[in-house]
Amino acid sequence: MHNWEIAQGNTIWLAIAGVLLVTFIIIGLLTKLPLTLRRPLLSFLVFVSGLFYALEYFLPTHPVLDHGVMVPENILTDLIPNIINPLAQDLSALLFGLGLFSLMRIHFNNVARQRSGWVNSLALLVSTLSMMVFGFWSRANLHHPRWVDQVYHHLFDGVYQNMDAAMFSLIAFFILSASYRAFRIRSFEASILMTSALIVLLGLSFGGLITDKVPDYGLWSNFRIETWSSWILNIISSPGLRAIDFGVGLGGLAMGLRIWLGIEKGALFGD
Amino acid sequence: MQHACDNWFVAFFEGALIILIMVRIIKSMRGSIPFIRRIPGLNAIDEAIGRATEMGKPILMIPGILGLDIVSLQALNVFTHVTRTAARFATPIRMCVCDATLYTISQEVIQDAYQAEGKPELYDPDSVRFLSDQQFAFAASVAGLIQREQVAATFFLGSFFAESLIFAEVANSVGAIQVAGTVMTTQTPFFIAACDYVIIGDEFYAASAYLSKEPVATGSLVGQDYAKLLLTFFIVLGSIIYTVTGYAGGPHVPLIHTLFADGGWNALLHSIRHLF
Repeated sequence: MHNWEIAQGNTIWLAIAGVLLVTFIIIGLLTKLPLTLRRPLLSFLVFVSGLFYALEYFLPTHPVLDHGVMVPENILTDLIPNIINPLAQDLSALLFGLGLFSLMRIHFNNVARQRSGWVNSLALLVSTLSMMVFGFWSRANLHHPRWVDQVYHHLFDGVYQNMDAAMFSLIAFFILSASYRAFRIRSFEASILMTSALIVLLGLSFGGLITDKVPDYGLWSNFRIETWSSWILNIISSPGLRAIDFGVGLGGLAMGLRIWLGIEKGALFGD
Repeated sequence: MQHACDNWFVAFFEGALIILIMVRIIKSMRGSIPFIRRIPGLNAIDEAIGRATEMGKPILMIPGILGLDIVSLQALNVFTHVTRTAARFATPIRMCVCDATLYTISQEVIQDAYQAEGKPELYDPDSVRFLSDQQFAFAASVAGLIQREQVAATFFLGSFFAESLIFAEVANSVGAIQVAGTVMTTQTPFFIAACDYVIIGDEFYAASAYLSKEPVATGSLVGQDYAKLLLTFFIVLGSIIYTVTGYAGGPHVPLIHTLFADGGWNALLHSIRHLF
């Protein structure tokens, strides 16, 4: 498999400058195009991109040795990791800059005009800039003082990771309040929901103790709470979820087809 | 990476589904517009916008937390409708995105929606916000925004994960009317528990057809239903075959072995030759 070499020394800066120049020229040309031409051009590009993946999927493959493993490939497969994925990553990185700019602009204005809650905006600006400075300093520059690593470690592992975990743990409390509202018995459907949930909860926790004396073999095993619980999960819940998944898959297929063929209307595609 | 020749049956089946959908789209484009049943979650969109307008508070829209894909594009289709209706009544909107690619596209779409309603002056560039590309940092930002701005209506449409319940419960705590829809079956129960209206499964993809009544979209929707019928037929057929033959250990029936044959196009040809 062919892998692109990362340019070293001054070449990398030239390469970055070249890519940025070409990108801005393309963006400039696209923005100058009238809307009547821009949409057909985008539809054409979408069609070509879609056609590439369709051909890559349908063309016959032959086994190729990749990192010691035989994998099925055709003439187009190699282009995905070597050209398409890096291009998509570059585009994402460029657009991430735009997103970051928008975020900073909103919060900088909040601070400058001292709008209500401007202190929170200041905290966001300071924390974003700190992470950027220490992150780049620590990762990009090999010859940096030891304390830079320590500060980065404290910011990322000591502050960010813990706050992330704290947000995640909030879900437990929200599940409690949401399930309380959902399980209040107000209708026949809510009663079924409540009963099913209770059986599944008992079956997956200490419910087995209630029917502990019931034999777990033969006809009697049908009266154990674990059996009811797994029956609800496997016979009622799983097929329902799979049916929804089928519908979602078909919906995605139909929409993908409409976009690929340029017949989709609505946001981005014109009325 | 998957290829058609990994399983020729799947490739042919996909082809059949595509043909069914395309046939219905073409029929619909020629004037045979089908009827679409009432979808309560989509009817509630206007109700939610109306409530936000009465209260003079913003509408919050979130197109999931993944990047630019079919799901987020469909969410943007619905949000275009929401924004156009909101623009008619000058109701403020907030759209929070978790992906930078989607952010730039969302800005364009929302601006276009205001222009289409003839009210470009109402468009506020700060109404579309990129908050963070990290799941829980985004969740915290959205929760803060809901609390600070006391939004009156929320639309959560797209791909959601564990943060779905944080959004829905915080919005519930400020009394917002909530419409949610996701293609993630693991998150649908959370939305059902916490939101007022939920768009389930493929209703999510029916949204643009339902709201626009546009021939291509409605034809495609009917095509999907025909595809589901075909799928159901094969599920029943597969169940019968499995029950009768006990496949993979049962009696040797060449036709059935051909249907389940592993391998590429050569294996298919070999199986067909073996049949005759």
